[in-house]
Amino acid sequence: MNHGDSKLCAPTDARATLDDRDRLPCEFPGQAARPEYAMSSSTRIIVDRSLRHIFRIVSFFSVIALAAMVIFVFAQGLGPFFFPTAPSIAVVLENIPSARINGSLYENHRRAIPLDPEASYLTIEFPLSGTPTRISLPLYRNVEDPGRSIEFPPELQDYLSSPEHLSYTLSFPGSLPGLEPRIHINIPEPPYSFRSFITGREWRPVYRKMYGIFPMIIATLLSALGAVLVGAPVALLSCVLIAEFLPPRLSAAVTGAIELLAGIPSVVYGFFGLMIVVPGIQRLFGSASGSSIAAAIAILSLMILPTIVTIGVTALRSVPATLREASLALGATKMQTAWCVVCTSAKSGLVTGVVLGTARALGETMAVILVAGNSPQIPVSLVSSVRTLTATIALEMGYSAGRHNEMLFSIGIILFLLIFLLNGVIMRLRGKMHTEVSS
Amino acid sequence: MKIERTVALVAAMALLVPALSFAGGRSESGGPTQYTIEVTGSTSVSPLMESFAETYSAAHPHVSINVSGTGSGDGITGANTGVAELGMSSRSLRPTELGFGLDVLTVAIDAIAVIVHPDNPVSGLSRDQVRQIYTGEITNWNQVGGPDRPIAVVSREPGSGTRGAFEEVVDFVDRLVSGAIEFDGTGGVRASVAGNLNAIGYISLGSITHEVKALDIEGVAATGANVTSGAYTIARPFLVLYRQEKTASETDRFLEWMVSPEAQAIVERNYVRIN
Repeated sequence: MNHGDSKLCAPTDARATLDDRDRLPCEFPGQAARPEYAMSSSTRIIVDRSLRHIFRIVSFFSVIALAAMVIFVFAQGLGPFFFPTAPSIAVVLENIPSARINGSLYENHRRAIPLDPEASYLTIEFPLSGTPTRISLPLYRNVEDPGRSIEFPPELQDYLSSPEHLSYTLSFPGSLPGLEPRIHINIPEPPYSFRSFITGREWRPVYRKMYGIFPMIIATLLSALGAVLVGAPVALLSCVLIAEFLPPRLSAAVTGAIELLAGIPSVVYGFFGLMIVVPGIQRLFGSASGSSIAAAIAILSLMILPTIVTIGVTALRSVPATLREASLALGATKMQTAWCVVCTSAKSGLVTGVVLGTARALGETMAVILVAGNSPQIPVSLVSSVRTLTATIALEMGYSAGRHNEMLFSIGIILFLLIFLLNGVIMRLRGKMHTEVSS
Repeated sequence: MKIERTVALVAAMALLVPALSFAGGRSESGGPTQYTIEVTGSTSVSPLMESFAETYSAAHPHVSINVSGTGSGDGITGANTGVAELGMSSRSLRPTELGFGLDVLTVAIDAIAVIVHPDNPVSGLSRDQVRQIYTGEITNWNQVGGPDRPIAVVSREPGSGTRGAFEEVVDFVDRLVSGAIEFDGTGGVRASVAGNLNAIGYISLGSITHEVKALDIEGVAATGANVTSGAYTIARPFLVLYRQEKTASETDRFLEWMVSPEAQAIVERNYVRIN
């Protein structure tokens, strides 16, 4: 098989589709004059169509992969807003070999024992240093404040502790140190309100079970905005310089260097930031630490440069030379031509570059973790330590469990939405510009 | 049309099948009894587990032990769901995690050292001062007998075993001052403190290097001997989690070995042995 040759008899008419080529394989001049073209037309049709099916199947798989990812993130991330963490209160016995809970006997049971969701009391009977003991706790259906759905009588208060929100532990004195009998009562967390998730200002996921990501949304948007405000003008000016003013050889060298910049792994940017930018900012502002939103903006603006420059230069170069020539012929200077003619015609491409740069700044994780300080607070100054949405996922995924883990997927959903929004913006801007150009 | 479809399908299969089979592929070299123990979890326990693995595999060539340090939460979940045979945790189990019914083996005790830059003249703090620094009541080194410099508070991320244990022992659970710098992993905290004269952080005693200085707490130095005697109180257990009914016999032997005198001698190099 000689695939390379099949393109030789492709139609010159750009409007012809792949199907036309299949049907009209040999109606092009020059076909007969090529004796080296060995494949018969019917074989070639089979090869072409097979290739087309391969393309379809392969792209089908990538669509499936994308869909699977979206479904996975949404399925994991939406759970906390609709379901409680467990259907009912659960009891865990520690160092209690045998106990009777609401009438049922549990021997050497270490797993959580779920109660009947309708139960109005919790009765635990167990031997405590030899003497049979009975604890009876009334249960309430308290939707507003689940912490109050169980009542501990005053005589148990001495044994009671609450290691974390909605968890109660009764520890009794035991015969051996470290082997004290303990009863843990875990009340399920109710569905979390989406509003408190978005607008909540406290991210205290472990003990207090507060999952407010407002500070992270603000930090993400501010650091991306800052990076674009600093990086985009620099990048756009570089585009114009490279595409319009530099001699070809130098322009190629600069483009190559910038493309190299795009290939540097983000952790290297982060390392550079940690070693150079962070101490620099600390010295400049005299703050306690240089890990701050300013450092994040500095690194991000550097990182989005190659994205904007690469796309921008391509856009500027694709402006037809006839436009430039016409402008110069009309007496405009080279500078006027670059600004008023070339940049105006390439506006859509330049805007695409900036929006993609913004997307990169929003999504960047590794470099930001290293320089931003990662405190989930709303920044009050340039030297505030901040944490972005992506950084939260990366920092806590390995350490989280249960709802905390699901909430990280919920953050993933928010990131998805941000990117959808950004893509919407890019499409609208493009549509608008196309109509402007054509009208 | 039929021929093309078949050709295309076969070609697509030829492309995809090897790619997919990589996921399930596992080489079966080195004899029939070759066994791999997967261990995952706490980044603080990982260095110790790696020394364990090295020594144990040298003596038992047919057992290879894969240690991945991903985090205590991951270790507990991994042991619970069976993703890894053994989980590592550097904190006690939380109430909901106790409900998983996992078997727990304490393999070592580790002190958490409060660290500062080596050039910081402050050499000791009281436990109250540490708490006040971490809750934001003390913000300048001159409030604790140091130079007039702001304090940069460095912490671990929420969910970290080290952070959980430190907050519990020093008594400021979930009250970390906002604006603190948070890093994942012991190395991140150490690097951050090593590079900043104003910083204060906390890491596992076994991970201290010359780049940072450990502070005395209540006048007691952070050393293994002081943890054993009970004088240094900021300490937590290193746990290995597993399911007795599911572990292979090779794994059971490894678990037994971890509390043997030979393994505890390894513990003693950097941590505190269990008694």
